[in-house]
Amino acid sequence: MSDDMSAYKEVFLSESAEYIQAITDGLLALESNPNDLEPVETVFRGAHSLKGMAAAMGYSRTAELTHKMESLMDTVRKREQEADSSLIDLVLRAVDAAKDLIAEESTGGTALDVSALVEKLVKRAEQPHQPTSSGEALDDQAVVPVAGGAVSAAAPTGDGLLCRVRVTLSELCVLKSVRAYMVIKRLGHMGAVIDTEPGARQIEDEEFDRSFDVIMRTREHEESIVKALGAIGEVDSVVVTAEAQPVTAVIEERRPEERTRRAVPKIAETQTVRVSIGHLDSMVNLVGELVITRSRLDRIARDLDSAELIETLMILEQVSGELQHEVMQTRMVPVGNIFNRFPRMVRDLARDLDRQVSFEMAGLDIELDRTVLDEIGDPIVHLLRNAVDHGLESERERLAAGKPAKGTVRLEAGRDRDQVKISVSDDGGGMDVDRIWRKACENGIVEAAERDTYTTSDILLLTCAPGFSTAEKATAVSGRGVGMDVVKGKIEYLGGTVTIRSRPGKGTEITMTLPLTLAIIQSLLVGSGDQVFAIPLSAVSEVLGRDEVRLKTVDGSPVVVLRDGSVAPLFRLDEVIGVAEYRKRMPDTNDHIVLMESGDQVRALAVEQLVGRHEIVIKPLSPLFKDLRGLGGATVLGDGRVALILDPRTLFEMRGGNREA
Amino acid sequence: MSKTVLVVDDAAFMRMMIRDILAKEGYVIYEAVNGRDAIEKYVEIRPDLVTMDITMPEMSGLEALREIRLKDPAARVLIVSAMGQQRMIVEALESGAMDFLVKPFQPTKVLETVKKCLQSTPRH
Repeated sequence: MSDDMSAYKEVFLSESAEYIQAITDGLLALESNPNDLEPVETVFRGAHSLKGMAAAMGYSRTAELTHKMESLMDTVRKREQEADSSLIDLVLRAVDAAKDLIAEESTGGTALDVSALVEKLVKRAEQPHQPTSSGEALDDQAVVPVAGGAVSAAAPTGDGLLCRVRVTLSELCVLKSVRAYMVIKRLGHMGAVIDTEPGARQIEDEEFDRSFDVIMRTREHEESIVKALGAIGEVDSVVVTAEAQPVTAVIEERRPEERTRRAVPKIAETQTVRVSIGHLDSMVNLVGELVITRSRLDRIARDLDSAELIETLMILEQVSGELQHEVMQTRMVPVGNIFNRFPRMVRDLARDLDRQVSFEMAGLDIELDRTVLDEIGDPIVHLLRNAVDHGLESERERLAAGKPAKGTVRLEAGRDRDQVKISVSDDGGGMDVDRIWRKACENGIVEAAERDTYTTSDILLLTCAPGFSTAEKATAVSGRGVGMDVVKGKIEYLGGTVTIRSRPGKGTEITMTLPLTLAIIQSLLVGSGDQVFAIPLSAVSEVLGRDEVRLKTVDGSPVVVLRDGSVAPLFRLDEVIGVAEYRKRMPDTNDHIVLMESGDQVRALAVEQLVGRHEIVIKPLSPLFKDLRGLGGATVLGDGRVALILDPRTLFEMRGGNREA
Repeated sequence: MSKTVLVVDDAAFMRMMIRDILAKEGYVIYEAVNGRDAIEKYVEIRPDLVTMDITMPEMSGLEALREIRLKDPAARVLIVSAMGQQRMIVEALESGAMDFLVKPFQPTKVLETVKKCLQSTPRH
């Protein structure tokens, strides 16, 4: 089997991640409501499924750990112990460990040692264990009613010949006791089972090697007994011998409870299929190619002035438009997919900060393009951390202000036409506008005299300026407030906006407004040497010829003089991205000047070639390049060439790019 | 004619493993994701055999087994369960399951057991 395993690994990994999430959610739900049995079931089932899957993959340590998790949750399920916070902590730790173990075992690692944790789980499962009766035991030591029920259909005692049936189970037999139960049950249908050797108890406890004897009275022939038992799995051999001595054991007859069930009402279910993300990405790519080719054909048709071709192309345009829409639709993922990890994060955070936080989430079913969703995880983390750490006041301050000691942090998603709004709010002390202003002045972000030109929300947004920090003291959690500029930059890069609302004493709400999708964007393709780069069109304010602009040098750096007389620092594309020498700054005579706006900064970029405007399909860069400043992704062009997408937000922070005073 | 098997498991991973093993041998495979789904699909498809996981959301394999056997006393159900569920397996056998498999399993074992189940007559 192990040869085929790699084929299953992908499915295993994605599904086990879902179970881990479900277990985590269940534990958190349980923590907020310890008497709810529903999440207990969820956690139990999750651990159970993980165990089975891990065992099938041969990940023995994961299987062992999840098995113990399952056993522990079973005790909660059976009301043998309470799911108090220490138990939930322990299981959460086990979930974390399981996650690590899966990652390790799936890559062939052997370093992690979870035996201490396993032992803790076992201890905890046993510790308060007070079974109501001695007969009640865990499934692991299940009491298998070997003879009970088996004799239910017995022929009248005294009928037929007394014989001994020796059954030998296969060497690889699992659950020998259950196998034996099946054998005895089957024999019960063929006559009267009188006794077993070893006794029922020993068979239940699997205290036998591979063979056991059943003494019974039957009218069946030897062959039919052998045949009947042969049909049972894992039975190696059956030998029937006549038994001389009458046995006088009485076996209690027990009938299985008759159960009837009501018919279950039908539940409509959406038909879904699992599709790997890779397929979806390549579908978007292909649709992108189609869109590009279509626009080329369009141009050719107009050049040829063929009415028939133009008409056909219009139909093609409609169809490909619909196709694009459908493909985009398939890529929409509910925000709940990334929101679901936040309750755990907020919980841990609140614990670390020793704060009581009630965390609410809403709009989990709002859908966003997967690309967008992948990008906003980190900003949300920043905002949540800020809310818990800085937004909420300390317990003492809250009580003094007449608020409940427990603060509320809320994460909400909502749809507004073709935009999605995601907001993080808290019921903390709100932001201090005056203090923000003072700080901004101190940090040289604004001039004190400009105060009148700033609205309150403008001032609040100053917290998103690079290098701004109002946190009185830096903490390990939120750092020194470096987060907000990153958040704002990221959202703007995604074509969205950030707004802040705050009311003193009531709380703060930060809203990110995002486009539904950005997998396909309009871009300006520019060339440097033989390389092509794409600039998101949203960041381009104007494209000018070299001869249309006036150049100056300010403090030894070139600037472009704009129409209104203001100047914009000028950069050369090849210099910014590091393909040309740092010093070679003045543009060549044939260069084009691209004016780019990012925030309220205008910068000019000199490029060698203008390739044109194109719809491009964004492909994220591999995680290896994740931290590379200046690049936002890549795209494949119609001719097969790869173009890197410039990130206007970070482009000018690259080597040699940052030369503001 | 190829035999039809309804594979019931909430874990897609498990369904995939069983499906692959059986499909290679020419069985026609249907899948259900929980007990409730299994009952509906059973009524619709009338498969020759059901492989049934025990622990599932919505409705457990045990409940589904009983319901299916109630609807069709000739239903062949093979229990597929994890280690540590002896008692449930026994309960399932009491309720008319034909045989059981314990995860993790060997493909040969699965095929052998499925074949055995299909050859013998269900009874209770």
